[in-house]
Amino acid sequence: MAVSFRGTAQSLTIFANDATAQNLFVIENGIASRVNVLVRRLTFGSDSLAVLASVANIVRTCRATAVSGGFVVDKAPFSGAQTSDSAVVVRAQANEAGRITATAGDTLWAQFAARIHTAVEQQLLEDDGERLKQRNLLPTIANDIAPFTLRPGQSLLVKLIAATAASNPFASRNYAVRCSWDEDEIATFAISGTVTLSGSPVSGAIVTVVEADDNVGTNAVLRQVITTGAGGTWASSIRTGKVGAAFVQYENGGTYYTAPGSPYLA
Amino acid sequence: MAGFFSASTFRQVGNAATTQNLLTIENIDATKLVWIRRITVQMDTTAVLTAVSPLIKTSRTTGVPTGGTTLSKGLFDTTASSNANTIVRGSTASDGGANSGPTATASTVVWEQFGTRIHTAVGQVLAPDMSCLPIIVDVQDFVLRQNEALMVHIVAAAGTSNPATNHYVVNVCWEED
Repeated sequence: MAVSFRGTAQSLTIFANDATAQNLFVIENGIASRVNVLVRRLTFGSDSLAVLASVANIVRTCRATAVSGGFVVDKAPFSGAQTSDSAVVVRAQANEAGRITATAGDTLWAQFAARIHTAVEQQLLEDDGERLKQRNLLPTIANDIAPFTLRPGQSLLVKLIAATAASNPFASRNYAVRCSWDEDEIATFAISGTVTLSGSPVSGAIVTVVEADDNVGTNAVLRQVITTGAGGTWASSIRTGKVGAAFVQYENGGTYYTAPGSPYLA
Repeated sequence: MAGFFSASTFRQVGNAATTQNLLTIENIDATKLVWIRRITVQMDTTAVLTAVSPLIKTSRTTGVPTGGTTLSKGLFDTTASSNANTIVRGSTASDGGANSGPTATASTVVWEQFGTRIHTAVGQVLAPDMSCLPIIVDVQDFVLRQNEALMVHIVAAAGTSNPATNHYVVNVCWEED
């Protein structure tokens, strides 16, 4: 399929949380998405204002489930002609607010964050990550050889692990995370119809299109709400491999009409 | 089966010996190949070392590794599943936990890197990625065939050069056919 969006997103400064675990950043491909997310680059920076003479914190990348919270951050396109799928959401903690809740899966990659053994001289915060391929949260291998793929309903989490809570002190340790990704369109098939009343097409009818994994409604999502135009016609699309259903409501002169919903059809 | 996968060790502490095995990846499948695409080590050290830094070597092994902690394998794409005959081992099942292997005998050294050390305990301490294979392996195949393994291990000049105040994390990314 075609790449419909290529872009980036980045967190604001994230304050540490005085705990041994902290979720920093999530990129989430929602269940209603029409794209696969191919993560191209995922890096972080850290700035420590407080001395840490024990082992540095570790930043880990995992797949995740049950994601909630965080601030939704802007998605920046490489080309203004492209639009990201609205179901692709990037979340990050912002300063001390917007804590992210998630269940982490197996670790994919890990990095030590920097620390200052004593508070002297210059701090290199980013380690020139792009040029030197440092601070990677996914392995840096040639693009297009092995895109890390998030399919609809999947998420990628960046989390911090500290040996002790004292190693991750609030407001004395700061993190920033950024991500670059492509969105690869998923194939769809078309569905359409005509709304009629007493055999005559009607405009202004509301057609609700629902998409699901199967005909018992697993992972059902609202696909589209369409108002019919002249001729009563409507059209939408369903992801290949999914099933779709449509439901109709029409109001005329204060009287509401509805029609039996169609079964889920592939 | 085919696809890309990765694994990461827990934080492993130095074992106060001149040798220490950090990570092994083995392929025991009779027909499938494993290609290593990236393997890195990171090191943090909190104690001064004024002698030479430990070397971190990557070697093929004589025979298949045993012991250690079998690590979970992450999927680059959930439509793929890793071959059960591809096994990644670290030395501990928790961050900073007790070391328990893996056991393997190093044969040919493929690549090496100095670790890091702090000559005096001042200033910032960075833990950059240290490649354990030349980075060309992302496009030039480094192959593990049946009963072949790759090991990342420490070789220190003295046991005191690899104290428990040394900390290591090893990451590996590979492809299966």
